[in-house]
Amino acid sequence: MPISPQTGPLDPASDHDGDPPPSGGLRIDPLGPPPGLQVSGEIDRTTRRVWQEALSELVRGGGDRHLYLSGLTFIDVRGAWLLEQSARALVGGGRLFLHSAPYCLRSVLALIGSDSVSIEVKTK
Amino acid sequence: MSMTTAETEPFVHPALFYRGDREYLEGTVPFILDGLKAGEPVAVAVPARNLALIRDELGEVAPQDGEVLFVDMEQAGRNPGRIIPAVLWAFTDLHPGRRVRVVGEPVWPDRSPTEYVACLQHEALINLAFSGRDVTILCPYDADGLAPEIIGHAEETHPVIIDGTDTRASTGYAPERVIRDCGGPLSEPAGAETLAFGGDDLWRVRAFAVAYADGIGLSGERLEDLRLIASELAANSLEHGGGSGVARIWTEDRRIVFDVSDTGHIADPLAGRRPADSRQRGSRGLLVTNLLGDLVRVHTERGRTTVRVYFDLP
Repeated sequence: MPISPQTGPLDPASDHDGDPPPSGGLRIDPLGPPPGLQVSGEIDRTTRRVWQEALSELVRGGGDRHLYLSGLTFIDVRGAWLLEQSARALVGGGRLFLHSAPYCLRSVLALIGSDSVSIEVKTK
Repeated sequence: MSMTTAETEPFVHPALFYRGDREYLEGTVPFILDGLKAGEPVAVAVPARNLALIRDELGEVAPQDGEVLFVDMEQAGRNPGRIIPAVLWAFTDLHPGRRVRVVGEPVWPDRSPTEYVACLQHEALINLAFSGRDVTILCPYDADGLAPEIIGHAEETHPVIIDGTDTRASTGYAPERVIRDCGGPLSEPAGAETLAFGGDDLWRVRAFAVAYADGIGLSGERLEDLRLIASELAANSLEHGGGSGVARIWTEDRRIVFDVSDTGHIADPLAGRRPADSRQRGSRGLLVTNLLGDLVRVHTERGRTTVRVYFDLP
């Protein structure tokens, strides 16, 4: 099930495994089990819809979810807010684990006053 | 010492003109102790040297740990635009339903002229931000160290003046006029790099700002902070400023300066100074800019807005 964006400035030629997205692009690959997403590239107004849809799909149903973020190079305030809202939507005490969350995401979560108990930032 | 000017207005905002350490302590420490006696939470947000003076003096009477919140204003208030959301509002929100008092000293002699205008604007905006709220904010002004015109401006932004032992109504209180004057056109930079943007160009604006700043010597987390601000300000132009804008970046007095101009108008003078949980559309990008920038200046009028942010170079 590819969640890779069909919109936004993605170069179709790069749409195969492992390639980073082009400048300004976003690549989202489903992983699991356990259910998760590998995210690389940039999340902003241009790529927001794809990000939002991928998160909605991910948190459907109960249980823990995982985001692998070592390839995330930018996220804006709205994108981080969507992530937080998705974590809150997890039912049954499920948590959203953030793996290799870069500074750009951690700082925005702090700035928007995220205090969600559903988000766990893994340092490794 | 009574400072209430109007029975109907719970917000009290006096300026304290002091000369020397003794007057400073006589003007601030009884204010703090009166608050504690009345059961009011107290915060002291002043420059580091004055913070030490007050702490030493309070040590003699030994308030309980945690009764007074001490904040180094030179750090927390580096950018005057973040004092309202990150210091004052943050403190009042810790104590919902209770009257609080704050000693807030945003102006000190080392402030640059550009920073000072932002301080003046901040002092005027405090009156809008806290009108009707159970808050007392006492603002000390160093009458020996600050220029006479700065002391004069304090009369325009504070309804009450405490000068030595004399408490009186201000002679020139006019915060709306100050806010209007401080929002005027900004200076034109010499030698700025420029990028016009629209549509899907947010990544180009980020790359433009980061490439320049990286080349000048900004690095690490501060470079990431600039990348975020560049994106948020440009996104504001796309969403609220006519759908396009112009970004500029240059260096001035060991600071990197970045601004975005568009055809929008920011009607709310407190935009970007409301707390983070606000659902105000369009204010989030400005709030982040205030929280992360070392100085922020805004010029806005109908059909024309520039938001300018300064980053100190290491």
